[in-house]
Amino acid sequence: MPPLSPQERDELANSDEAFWRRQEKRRERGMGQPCCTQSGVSWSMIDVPGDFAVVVHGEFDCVNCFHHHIGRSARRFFSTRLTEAQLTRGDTQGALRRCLRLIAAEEAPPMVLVLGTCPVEVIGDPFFEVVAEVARETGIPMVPMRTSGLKLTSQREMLDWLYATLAESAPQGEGAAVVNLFGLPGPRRGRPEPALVLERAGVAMGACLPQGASWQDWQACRSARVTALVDRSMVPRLITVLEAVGQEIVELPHPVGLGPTREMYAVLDRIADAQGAVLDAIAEDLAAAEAEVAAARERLAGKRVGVAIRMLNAYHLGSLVHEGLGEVPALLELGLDVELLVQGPTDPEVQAAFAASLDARGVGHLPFEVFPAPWALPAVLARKRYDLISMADSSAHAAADTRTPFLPTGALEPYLSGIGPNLRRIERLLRGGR
Amino acid sequence: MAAQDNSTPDIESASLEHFRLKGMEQGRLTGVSIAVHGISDAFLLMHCGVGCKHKATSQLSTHDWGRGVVEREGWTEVGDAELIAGASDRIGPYLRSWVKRVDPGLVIVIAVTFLELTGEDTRSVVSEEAHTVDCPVVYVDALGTHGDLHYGFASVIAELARKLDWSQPPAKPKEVGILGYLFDRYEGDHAGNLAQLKRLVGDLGLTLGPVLMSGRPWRDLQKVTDSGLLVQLPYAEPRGKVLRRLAKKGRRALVATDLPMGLRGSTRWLRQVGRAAGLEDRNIQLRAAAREQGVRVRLAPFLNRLRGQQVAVFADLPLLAGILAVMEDLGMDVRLAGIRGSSFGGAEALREALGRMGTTVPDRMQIVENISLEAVRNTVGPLLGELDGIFASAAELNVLGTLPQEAFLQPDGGEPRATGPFVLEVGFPCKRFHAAMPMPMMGHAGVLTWAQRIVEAPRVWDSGLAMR
Repeated sequence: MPPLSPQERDELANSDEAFWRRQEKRRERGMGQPCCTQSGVSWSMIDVPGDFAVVVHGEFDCVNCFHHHIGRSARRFFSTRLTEAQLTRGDTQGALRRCLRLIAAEEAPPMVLVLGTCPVEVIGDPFFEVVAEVARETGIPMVPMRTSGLKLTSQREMLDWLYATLAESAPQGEGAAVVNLFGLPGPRRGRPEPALVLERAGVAMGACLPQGASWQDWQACRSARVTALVDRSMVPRLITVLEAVGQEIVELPHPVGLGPTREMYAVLDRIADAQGAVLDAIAEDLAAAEAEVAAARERLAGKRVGVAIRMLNAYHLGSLVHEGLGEVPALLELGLDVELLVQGPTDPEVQAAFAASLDARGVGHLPFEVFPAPWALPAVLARKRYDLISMADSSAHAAADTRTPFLPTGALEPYLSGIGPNLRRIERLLRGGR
Repeated sequence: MAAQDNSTPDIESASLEHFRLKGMEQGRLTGVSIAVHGISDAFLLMHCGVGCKHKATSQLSTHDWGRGVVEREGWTEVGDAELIAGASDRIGPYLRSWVKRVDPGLVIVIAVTFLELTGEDTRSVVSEEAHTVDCPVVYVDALGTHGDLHYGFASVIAELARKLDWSQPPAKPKEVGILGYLFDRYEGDHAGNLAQLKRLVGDLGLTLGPVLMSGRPWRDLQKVTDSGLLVQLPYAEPRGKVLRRLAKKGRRALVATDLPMGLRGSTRWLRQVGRAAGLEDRNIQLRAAAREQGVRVRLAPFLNRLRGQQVAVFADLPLLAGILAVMEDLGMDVRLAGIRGSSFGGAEALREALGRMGTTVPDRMQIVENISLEAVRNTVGPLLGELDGIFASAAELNVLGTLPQEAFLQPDGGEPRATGPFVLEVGFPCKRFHAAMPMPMMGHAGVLTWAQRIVEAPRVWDSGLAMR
């Protein structure tokens, strides 16, 4: 084939760049990275302890879309291991039927989730019929989910779908519990701080979901009077399921930083009808945190911090809360000058959509810049010369290359107990300098 | 060797074990990604859907703390609408855009199963579009229905070797080029291994040429055609037939070896490569004996503490054979050998490899082949009262970590133990083991690294009882 002429090259280059930009625009205008729903559901379920089973219906490499070396339930996963011949012949039902029957006979799990994949979607495999058939035959609840990577779904939509599915499987009924907590960050050790505080204040706790939750916790989720959750815009389907059994849904701030945490406890005190007992339980810690933040603000105000968003594909609720902006209030309350870096298409009209989205999240006053992809970050960081950059761990090398102090997204500790460690970490990074 | 099928032909007789998640479930795309990562200026363009990116980027990012992955991998963003419109039209624009952005020395393109199911001829499209960019572009088959990561890794070596010009006589007859070194991260373990390979080859009076892969740019690696002698390590063997054919056609000497691990294993490697280079055994033996003795002297004070310890080892077959060779040097007793993956065969192939390396197969050693995580738990469980150590990847260690502490410290019917077994992470992926400094696992000196790792390996289960 003859080499291209310079003119042909220019024409191709121009049309390609336009093509590439069109592709980027197809993505949601929201702030999240799109995801494969099979990968996302698997990634989320693998750390839920319990006796359930998850079957990934597809080629064996579809289970390679999530890690197996983390999570307590890796051994609860199965693959139908479809071969090329089975896929091309459409002969996929036998493997699924056999797999489900064996699971039912040998494991008798309380529930089986059956996840679709791209190959079975492409051949139009009606696998949900086999799932219904084996569920009827064995009496074990089996839920098919037509997951795949073919539809560019947001991570938030995917998680909402999974959580609604799990909640639907929970028994209904009036329990003794007053409050479920949903979407609050899990601490490094033990139970979340607000659960401990509520118990200290004499409030009957329900389930803490989804971080660290077990299958048993999910089974209890429809029994409490109230579910208090972070960022209700994330989980509309879950809310519908919970409201259908008469639960009250109350929104909480994302408790990272002093202001949001203080507000969260005020809301919890009110909804639990604790008449000040919750606030009394935190009074001492709150006063200490307020003093620490005030002192840190004196030292840190005016430092320039970049926060990169729309980068993560980790299916982590805490990183997706408020479109990835959940840690920004904790930085702003220290008097830091925060600038946002948004990964996405750089076209002016898409920028306007980003601006509107940021405004709706209450950070429209912050300056922002759009960058196309991680490969562009080293140049952006070299130009910006921030005192600190908060961004996805996968781009840590861009920070190292430009000698920019680096705080991984999601690294800030939640709750009152997190305020001291966060201040020390941020201050250490800022003091270290470039 | 063909890619092994991960299915069973008669589905009605399949057991539940067939469907369970295995210790190593990484398919060919992960292996391709590892190979591309091992060429410092290469770029991987994945013609795939959004989830398939995890098979490459996510798996490797965990394993390599030395160098980022995301900057040198891209995807063509195929969704359902693109499938209907004809997805392979996307390859050209993405290829050219990425070449313009990152200026790679080489681009590898793959397509995944669901796209191949549509009947589009991706290989031909890649071949046509390759002419529109100024760097070499190579298509590698990476379907996810069969073949593990090692088959994918070997496929890249084979496809690249096909691209090279072997028609001229080698310009450097005294140089040894290596094919099939599994360079999966820019960390000290590989820096140490590459230094050991250089030392081994130097002991033969030869020089080490390009090593595929070794984290070097493509322009350096393709000079492997200058090397007078080619050594094929086991990780190239799944596509070894291609390499042997090319070597024969290009009139190159090619010698297939095991990994140079352990004292005897390294010495045998030296002899094998030396013979292929036409060198005399006697001189090689003298040099190797001096190397072995140097290591034995340094190991001697520690051997009394290591000798007799009972261990279980899970690793891919070449690495497993190498670790068993090291265990023999250290006097440790291997009770369980678990073969991860399927590209290198099973128990028989392991025994053959041990025979070639001069390693005795331990009497009591049980061998298990490509077992599930559940089976790992169930096989190791009954041995917990006796095991002093477990070597495994993060995947097996993770599932063993779901056993309660009592299982390690108060095994059924046994005396309470002071500590549970040490755990030592090996293979892919590594979650906790990362090497900031040179830590060779190969060569004579590699035995010292293994001894050091074992001595300082954590015992995460501790009863507080005094050690006896």
